[in-house]
Amino acid sequence: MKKTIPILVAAAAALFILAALILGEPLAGWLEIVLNWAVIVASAALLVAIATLILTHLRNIVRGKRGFIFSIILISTFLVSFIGALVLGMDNSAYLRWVAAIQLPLETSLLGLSALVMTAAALQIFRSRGWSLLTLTFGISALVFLVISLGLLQALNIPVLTTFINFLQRLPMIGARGLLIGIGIGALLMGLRVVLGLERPWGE
Amino acid sequence: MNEMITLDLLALAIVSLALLSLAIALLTSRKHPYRNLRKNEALLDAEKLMHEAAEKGLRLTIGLGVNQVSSAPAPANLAGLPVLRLMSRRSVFNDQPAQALAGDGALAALGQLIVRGKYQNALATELFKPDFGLLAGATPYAYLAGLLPEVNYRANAGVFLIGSQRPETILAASLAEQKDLPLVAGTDDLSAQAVLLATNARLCLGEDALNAGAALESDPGAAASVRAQDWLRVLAVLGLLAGAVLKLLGVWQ
Repeated sequence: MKKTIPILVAAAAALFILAALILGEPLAGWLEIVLNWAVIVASAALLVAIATLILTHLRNIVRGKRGFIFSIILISTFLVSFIGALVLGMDNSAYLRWVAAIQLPLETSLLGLSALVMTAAALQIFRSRGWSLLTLTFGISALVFLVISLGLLQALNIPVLTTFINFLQRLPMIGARGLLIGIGIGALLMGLRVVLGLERPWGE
Repeated sequence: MNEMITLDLLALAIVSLALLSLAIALLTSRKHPYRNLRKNEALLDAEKLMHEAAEKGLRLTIGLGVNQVSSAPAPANLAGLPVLRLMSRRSVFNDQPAQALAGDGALAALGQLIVRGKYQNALATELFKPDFGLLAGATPYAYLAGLLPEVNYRANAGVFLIGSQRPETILAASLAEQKDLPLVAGTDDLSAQAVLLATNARLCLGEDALNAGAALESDPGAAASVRAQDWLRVLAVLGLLAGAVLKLLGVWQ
């Protein structure tokens, strides 16, 4: 019984959403209600996950675990932003500005770092994966598309060259579509497995 | 309006076809679900890695990914759970149990449910600690910030990044590479796949990341799903070719 109820709830919810998306108008109102329930349940799960995280870091502080200073920073920033949102409200412009002033520079610096690491990794691909058809294709295509993106070749205004560049620019799209079709089929079947109770993400 | 109805009917037909393929695959391979299944090279050594971690008294870390779309986990978010399931089962009595990190509340809760379940099955609930499955961060960058220190943990034997990962995950992959840790990665994000290809990660390409249960031979449903996917892919190829021919002949505008 304990195992059957979650399967039934998951299957019923998934079938209802599938029916509502296909039938459209007649179930639109109900669909909104069910999606709101999903948002509420997901938010409750987020609260539980945050509570676990906070308790874990509190334990780290109490036990003086290595790196507990980061736990202090995490808990204090969490409390300041949480209480700030409760007191001032989520839409308060001062609160939003304050959060953005901390979050944006941090995220931008991580993005910048990622860009540097990506460039370094691309340059080192032959060392990490060796010389193979895959790495050669990867390296050559990266170079070709870097050159095309500069726009210098297009500026020459040679009709044959422009046609060839247009053809080349379509190639990644074709490859991406192939991968996306595969991923789409995989995701569809995983969804069906959840609906049928074959895949139980919540099950141990 | 008519176009909308046609698209809806097409979607319904695809879902029905997928359901039929899955049912046939389940029925035809119920006795030997993993026989003649195409191998997932990236996950072939996963179990070996789990045994090695146990022998060395080290732990494995898994990043389950972030939620990029909505408030509920997307199918790709569930991709890492079969790996976590096996990893937790193998490490219940280890010196260093497996560590799961999620970039989404619901996913973190699911991860913790799985880990707790494994300890309950092994009648060792007293060994379970809630921090075996943690929320690394509720946004993609917060997830990355939470993931990096865990990859850097001194007692790591290997890192798995399976689920909905973003290109910035390369920071974690690069860190694992620097620490000489084996890394297995799989994601539904094409950009993330491309950047992870440039690292030394054992990479699950395309939809292979979604079928970890089949590769690890721990889920007959996932094995049937791989067979159904192969059939549907053949049908998609035939459909695309037929569409191209019909368009060339001017039958289909």
